Amino acid sequence: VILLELALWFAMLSLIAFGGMPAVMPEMQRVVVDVNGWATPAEFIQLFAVGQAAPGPNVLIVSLIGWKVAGLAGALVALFAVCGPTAVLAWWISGLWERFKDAPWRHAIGRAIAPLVVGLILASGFVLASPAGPDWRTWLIAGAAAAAFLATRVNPLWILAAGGAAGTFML
Amino acid sequence: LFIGTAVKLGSELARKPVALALVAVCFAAVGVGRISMYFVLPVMFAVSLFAARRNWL
Repeated sequence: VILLELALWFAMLSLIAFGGMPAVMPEMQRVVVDVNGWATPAEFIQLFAVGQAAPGPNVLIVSLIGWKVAGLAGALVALFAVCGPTAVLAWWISGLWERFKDAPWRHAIGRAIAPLVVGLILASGFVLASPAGPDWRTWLIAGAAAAAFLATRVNPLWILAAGGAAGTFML
Repeated sequence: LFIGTAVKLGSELARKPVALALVAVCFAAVGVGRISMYFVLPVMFAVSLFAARRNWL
C-alpha cells in the first residue's frame, strides 16, 4: 500500500512540475512532511541537501524520500513515478509544441508560465529556509548564499558547502 | 541557491509590473500561505494566461 501511495503522490507531483523539481519543492514538502508524515521538517531538509550535493539531477531527492519510506523498492517506485508520466507527456506535447510553433496561444503560454515558475522557485527557497517555522539564522544563511550566488561566479557547490558549515555552527 | 535562481530568472520580468504581481501572489500563496499547488497553479495559470493574451507580460 505504501508503494502505491508513493507512486500516486509522486506521479501527481510530477504533473505539476512546471519549472522542474525546484518549483514543486513546497508541494513536495507539504505532501511528505505535513500530509503523510514520512519525514520531519529537519529530515526533509537533510534529504534535500544530500540530493542537491550528490552528482546528478535534482530529482534525486525523490528516490531518497522513497528509500526512507520503503527501502530500495520505495526509491525505485518514487523515481519511476516522477520520471515516467512526465517523460510520456513531454514526448507527446513536444510534437504538438513543434507543430504549433507559430500559433499565438503558444507564445502566450510561454509568457504566462514564466512568472509562475519564478514565484514557485522563490517559494521553494522560502520553504526550505524555514523548515520548522521562521528562523532568522536560516534566513541569514539563505540570504548570504543567494547574494554569493548572484554576485560571484563561484561554483554553487562551494556555496552549498559554506552554507552547510555555517549551519553547523549557527543552528 | 533557489532564491538566487529565482532572482536571476525574475530579472527578465523586472520591468513588467503585472508579472511581478503574479510572482508575488504565487510566492505568497505557495510559500507563505502553504496553499496546495494543485489549487494555486490552475488558478494562477488562468490569470497569467489572461494577462499574456492582453500583452501585459
